[in-house]
Amino acid sequence: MKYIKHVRGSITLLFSMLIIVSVIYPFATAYISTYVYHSPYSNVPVIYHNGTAIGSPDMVENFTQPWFFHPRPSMTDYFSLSSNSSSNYGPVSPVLYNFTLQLVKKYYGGYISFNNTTTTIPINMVSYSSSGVDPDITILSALIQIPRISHYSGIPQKDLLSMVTNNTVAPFLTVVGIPYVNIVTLNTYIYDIMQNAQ
Amino acid sequence: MIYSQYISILLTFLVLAILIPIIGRYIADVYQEKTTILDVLFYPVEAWIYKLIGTDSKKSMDWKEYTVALVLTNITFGIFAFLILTQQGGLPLNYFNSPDMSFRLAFHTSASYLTNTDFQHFNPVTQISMFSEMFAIMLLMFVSSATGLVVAVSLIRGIKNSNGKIGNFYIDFVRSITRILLPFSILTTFLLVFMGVPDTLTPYIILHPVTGGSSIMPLGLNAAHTSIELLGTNGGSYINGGNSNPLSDPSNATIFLETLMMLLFPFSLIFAYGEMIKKKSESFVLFIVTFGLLLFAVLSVVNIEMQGNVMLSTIPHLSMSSGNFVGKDTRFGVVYGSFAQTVSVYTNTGAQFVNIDTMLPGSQIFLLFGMFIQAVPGGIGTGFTYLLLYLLLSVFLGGLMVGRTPEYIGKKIGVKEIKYTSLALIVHPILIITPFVIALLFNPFGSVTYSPHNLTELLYEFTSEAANNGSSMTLNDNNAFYNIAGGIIMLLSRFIPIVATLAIAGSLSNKKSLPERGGSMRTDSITFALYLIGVIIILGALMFLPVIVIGPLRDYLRLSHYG
Repeated sequence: MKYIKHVRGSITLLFSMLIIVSVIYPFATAYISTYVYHSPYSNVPVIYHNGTAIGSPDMVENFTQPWFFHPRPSMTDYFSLSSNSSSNYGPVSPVLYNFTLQLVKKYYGGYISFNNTTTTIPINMVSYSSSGVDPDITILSALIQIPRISHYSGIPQKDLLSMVTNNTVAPFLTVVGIPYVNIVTLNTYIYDIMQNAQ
Repeated sequence: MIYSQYISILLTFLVLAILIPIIGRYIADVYQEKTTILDVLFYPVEAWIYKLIGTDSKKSMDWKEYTVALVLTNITFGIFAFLILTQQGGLPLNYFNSPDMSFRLAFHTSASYLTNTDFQHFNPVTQISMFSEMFAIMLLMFVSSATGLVVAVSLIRGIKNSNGKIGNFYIDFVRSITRILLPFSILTTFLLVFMGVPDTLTPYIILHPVTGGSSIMPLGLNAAHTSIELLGTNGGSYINGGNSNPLSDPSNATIFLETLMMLLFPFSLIFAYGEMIKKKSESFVLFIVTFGLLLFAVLSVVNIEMQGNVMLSTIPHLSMSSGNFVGKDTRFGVVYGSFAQTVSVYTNTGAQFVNIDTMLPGSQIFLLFGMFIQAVPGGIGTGFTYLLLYLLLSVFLGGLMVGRTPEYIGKKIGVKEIKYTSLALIVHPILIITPFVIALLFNPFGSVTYSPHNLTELLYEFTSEAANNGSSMTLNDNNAFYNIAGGIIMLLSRFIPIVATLAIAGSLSNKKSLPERGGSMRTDSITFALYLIGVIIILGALMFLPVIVIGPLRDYLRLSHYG
């Protein structure tokens, strides 16, 4: 019974912590973040087209049209929130082997790279990501798609090439990570060019 | 190209090395109640809380009272979160119409967040309402981190004091939150928002992509959640796909920051220890041990992942030069992604930066090993505690071997301390292997297929729960067996070592600090550091080599066939 006062202590602690970390902390940070950036979405990048939110560089869409840069494969249904999971094939699984083999066949000299057989297919383009919504691909993964995109969109190859070069994100502090391009950004450019051409 | 990426690892540790003394000294000041910069702001708030609690804010507690207060507080918070989760369907701010959690899932979830594990058997977007996020998840993430910190601090006081007291639980707990966790979380929240992570009360935005249809992009309190998740080495993410999701970790700059956030407090606490006992050489030894083992693991994992998957390299026209990209996001790259994941597991954060399931078997062995030893650097507070437990055991064993009195910083290490140390350390393998064997024998819900990879997943599940880690491999685990067994494993593996640690602190605090004599073994030398590394590796290997052989090692051997 000597310790009964700690029941009161723990309950008081619960309520004071609720005020500090469950109310003040989230509300204050959210309020300041939205206030500073003048946006209800805080500082998240959103791409608008004629006033409609058409995408975000932080979330890949299911770009299947041949004139767009294709994302990495994903088990995710891009439109569903509930199945956002990545690969669960083990590293030694025959399923992984066959899956990768089929994709490499599809890309190498096939539709995706537009019968381009001069280069090998980077592992980046034929593997699942961790998030399942990886919006980025490596430079090589972008380059192998250029002949196809040029053919279907009518944009000259050298324009696409400079588009990739101009939008390459360099490693942070020149060493953290690898150079990559965001395909949502690239595809928005392609979409704009094609809209204007019509 | 590849070597420049290795420099990124060096750079991270370099920035960390600059931060550690600053933060470490600050932590030491906070717990010694010296004046700090935030006194003006928080002193009135704290005074008000102490007044409401009714505890005399100057009164120091003995270990029994401290334990009672700690356990009661944790029970109160746990029950509160459990109630919120089971009732969330009817509570406000439920934008995704999340249903009430079932009792078993709510038990697993509240146990998981209460114990700093943050293992998720649910979909964080659709099954947690924003109300639950604030009043259950965020609350428990702060509380579990603070609990870890106070246990470490009371152990340090036990070593330091000779009056039988180990501090006042309420003061330690409140100050952990108001002086350490909250200010740093607010700071990193704004840094993350600046780098593009959403933090808003708007729950989602509907996009109308040019490819047709519409899609929902979840926003919400992502940055606020991610801050305490990583600073408090919690690890359960705000969104699917963990911290590899571009909404939680949008660029290669954020992963750099987030990796630092995970490492910051576990390492700073070691520095604070040296400050508090006024013997920097002791914390230097602990630095060598933790940093040495962590660096070894990091370089091994990164090397293994950069070599790529031998099985896939037999596919023609496939270029593997960028390493094993399977299950890794492009913007991190294989090197930094693997590095961040290793740090995440070794700090017992368990946040997902890359998919552990598709990492190579060699890497999986290293990750499992990190969770077996839990101390390099381990979770916030708990990692440091385990490190000291290994140290006490080493001092005792070493003392026996060379025939000297086992002593640590002037305190004799007796039977009582070693009993509790052994208890805290033996609980871990028991709680991994028992449920592992039960699952193998009874195959609950047909989840066990007995393939080497499946056994690795199963082993990983229980190891992650027993280490209060929270990282997971993809196992179909939202069912009664894994919910209930998991909840029990997490609670026992958290609170048995905590109580044992507090008992050791209590026992040490009753001993007089003897002046240094020539007769005791030196604990502040390089020799001792190497010896401690040996003890940690041998203990880990002895306890866990058999289970490693069943799962990941078999996978490793299967893979080497292709070579």
